[in-house]
Amino acid sequence: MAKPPKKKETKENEQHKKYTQSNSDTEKLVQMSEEPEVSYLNKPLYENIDDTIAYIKAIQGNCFDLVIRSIHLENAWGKQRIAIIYISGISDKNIIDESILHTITNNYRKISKPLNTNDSVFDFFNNFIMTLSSVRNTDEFGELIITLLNGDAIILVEGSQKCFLVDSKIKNERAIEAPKAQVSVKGGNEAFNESLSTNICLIRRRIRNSHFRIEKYILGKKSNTSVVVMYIKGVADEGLVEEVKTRIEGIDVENILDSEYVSFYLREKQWTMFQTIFSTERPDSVVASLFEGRVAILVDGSPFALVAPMLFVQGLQSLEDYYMKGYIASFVRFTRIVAFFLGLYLPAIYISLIYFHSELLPINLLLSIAGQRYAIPFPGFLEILLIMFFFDLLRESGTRMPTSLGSSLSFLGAIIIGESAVQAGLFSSIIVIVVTITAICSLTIPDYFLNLTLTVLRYFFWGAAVIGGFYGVTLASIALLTHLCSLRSFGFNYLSPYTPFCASGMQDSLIRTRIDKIFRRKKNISAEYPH
Amino acid sequence: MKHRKIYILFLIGFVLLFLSGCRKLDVSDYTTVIAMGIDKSEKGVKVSVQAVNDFVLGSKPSQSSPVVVFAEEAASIYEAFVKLSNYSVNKLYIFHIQCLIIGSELAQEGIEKHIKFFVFHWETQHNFNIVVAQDEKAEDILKMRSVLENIPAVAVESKLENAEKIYGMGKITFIDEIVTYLYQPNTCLSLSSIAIVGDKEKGKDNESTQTTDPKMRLKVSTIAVFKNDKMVGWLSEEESLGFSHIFDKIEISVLHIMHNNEKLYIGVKNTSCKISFALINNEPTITLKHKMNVSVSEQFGPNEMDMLMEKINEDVKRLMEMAVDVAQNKYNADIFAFCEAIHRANPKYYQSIKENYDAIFPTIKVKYQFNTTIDRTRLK
Repeated sequence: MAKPPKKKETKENEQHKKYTQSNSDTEKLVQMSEEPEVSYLNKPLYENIDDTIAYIKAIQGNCFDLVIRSIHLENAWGKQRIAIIYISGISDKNIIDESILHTITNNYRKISKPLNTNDSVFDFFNNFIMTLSSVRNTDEFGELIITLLNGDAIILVEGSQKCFLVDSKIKNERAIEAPKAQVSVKGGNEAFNESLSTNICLIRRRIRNSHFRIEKYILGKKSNTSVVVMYIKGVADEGLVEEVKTRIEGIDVENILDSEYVSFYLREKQWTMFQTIFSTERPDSVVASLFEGRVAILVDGSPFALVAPMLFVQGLQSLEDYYMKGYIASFVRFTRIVAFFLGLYLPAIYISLIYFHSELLPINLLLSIAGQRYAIPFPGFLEILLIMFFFDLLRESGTRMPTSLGSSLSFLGAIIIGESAVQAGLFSSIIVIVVTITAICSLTIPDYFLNLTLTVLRYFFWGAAVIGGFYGVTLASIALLTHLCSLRSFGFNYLSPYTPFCASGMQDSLIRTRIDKIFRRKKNISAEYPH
Repeated sequence: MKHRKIYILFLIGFVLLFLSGCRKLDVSDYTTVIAMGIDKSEKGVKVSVQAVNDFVLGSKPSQSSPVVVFAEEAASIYEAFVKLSNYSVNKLYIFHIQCLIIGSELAQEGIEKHIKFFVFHWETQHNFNIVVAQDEKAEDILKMRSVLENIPAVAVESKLENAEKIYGMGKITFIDEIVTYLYQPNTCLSLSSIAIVGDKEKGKDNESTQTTDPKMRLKVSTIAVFKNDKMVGWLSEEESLGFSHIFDKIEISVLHIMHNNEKLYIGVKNTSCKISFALINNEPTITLKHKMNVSVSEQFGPNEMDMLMEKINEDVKRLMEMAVDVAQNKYNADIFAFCEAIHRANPKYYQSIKENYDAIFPTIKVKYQFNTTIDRTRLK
């Protein structure tokens, strides 16, 4: 990502000036905050609490939820001033009151000896007062601010250039629910939620292995989002891990809201509609990928994990395939592959047949179609386009609308398309059947993104069929195949194990053979599919 | 090469251009011609087409007829066919024709010059049935309605298929077979025929489809024998059965034997017949190796089996002999393609008789070998 446009920067500065100017205490800091993101990063703290607080206020502006409380501690040997800073919405007040402040005040009061003059205030506090488990410290404003914004409490101590960072994040996350996009009947039924620590926990619970590695990055210059790279050392190819890390370090972006933002910057810079980084909301799917030698990336705030590299076949595989017998799984997979092709080609085939190659139809089918098409006012290609588009509208509205309207929508859709349009003679019933089959087929695809890609490609093939019949469809297929062959995901051929052909990969592509064979083979994805 | 991919894509696309038969013709933009008939006429030929009325087949059933017949006379089929456009609302598209019906008068006159239209016209396929209208005009056959099938031509086609497999009267013939038989010297064409049973005039009406007892029915009739491209006559029903036995198309049929002065029927299935040739004592001899499974309708003792088998074989032999006899002596037409068997078995000999095969054919001796298995001799 290139630098943000200059105009934007000046505008932000103006805004910044506005609210800093209003605060008369911090007027001297206005010059410093010319480049607010950069200026404070490595700036050391002041020894004076008031100066530090003033500076934090200057950086944060007059946020109403920024709580700054300074306290005088006292015991038999003397007095000590401290200040606690946190952001009220994202920090847990109970933790701060009952555990942090309680601990500090009690400890200070009950301390049995005075502050040793050789020791610094910081060491005294660190050793005797802050008897809490998750306490870190820092002497830089940069880390302080990020920690503060993460929901931790900052404890400043008068006379020390270091401050304490105490974990007090509020746990107001969504409960772990069943997956919504990648549903399965058998197997674990947990999905990620928006909390990074919970998501990591879900994965760690399934991998009890000391070779499991988690590395954290902070991405997004403005959002400071935590991004985590996971792999199993010794299983994942080192080159692959390095490549992922390099690409993550190279990400230069303002803010990250979802893992798809990261996915965009991570993937190969190729023009494509296909997803070359797998995204899943199922922890068991991520774990299975990790054991295959893939690398997983989690983004704070996103319930979807990224898995790289992704192969095309992954889009048609479901983790549930491994939970049943091979024959059944192979059959289920076969139906999915058939569904994929039907979902892609059926409207195009229909158009080609009635428009160009009606000779191919058996006579009874032809007469049946001709009979239905007899009084339809639209030409065939327009008819199917309208119905296809109407179905996509239905699907999109079904995704976006409030759930309370669901029944009325399905009612309207079924009545309008299924009954009235056909009865009114606007559309032939066969076209409704064709589009319905297509839609059902595309819904069997386990990967949500592949499903959407399919929807778009269907129009592409429709166009090809309108222009050139089966000839056009064949050309379009060649173009699609060529495109798929050119795709890479972290250097891996997107279409492997088909091109380049890999015999051992066939055991787990179109069919699924015995699971012990697959396990014996699946040591490492890099070893299996050479790039 | 820098743009290798583009070149390859272009190349593939270019090659595909020659493979496609791509022409925009929407299903609803043409009228499907489902059957065609040709008849003798003063101007040359009379072409009648049975065109499908799509409206009737749609979701809203209608009282109007599912097909309509247009007829036009002209010097050639093509001319007549083009002139038919005067009657039709849409383009008449003959790709989908299911059967071609040849009027018997025209068949007697010769069919070669007419058949050529269907071979060479760009809009025809080659797998439709060709039948002769027995003692009728083809146009009349096309005008007859059918009950079990909405579209009469489809009914005719299905009847032919059914009659070929069961009993053995019909014979499905596609146009490429006709071409083979017409242009190959010495083989003679045989075609199935279709006949009207009952009142011709009433068969055209809607009422004929609304009763359990239509006054008119179309029926698969006996085999028509051609010499060169002209029809020379008909086989009788028994001769037709014998012909079908030799021609090896029957799946299920029936035979009769006399047993204790009682007529018994014998069910026949899985028949096959192989034609082989040998020169025996310098006389051309065709051997017909016939094989079948039969099931009998009564219980027989084990010592009666041989006698029974003999009687059954005799009955088949009778049918086949009748067919061979009428072909050799009455019409002198090699409808069984014996000459091909001779050619395959002894090409040198065939070369020597090729020129005067007409004189040789009636003198060919025919031997019969039977391999009959009797199934189900006991009560179940």
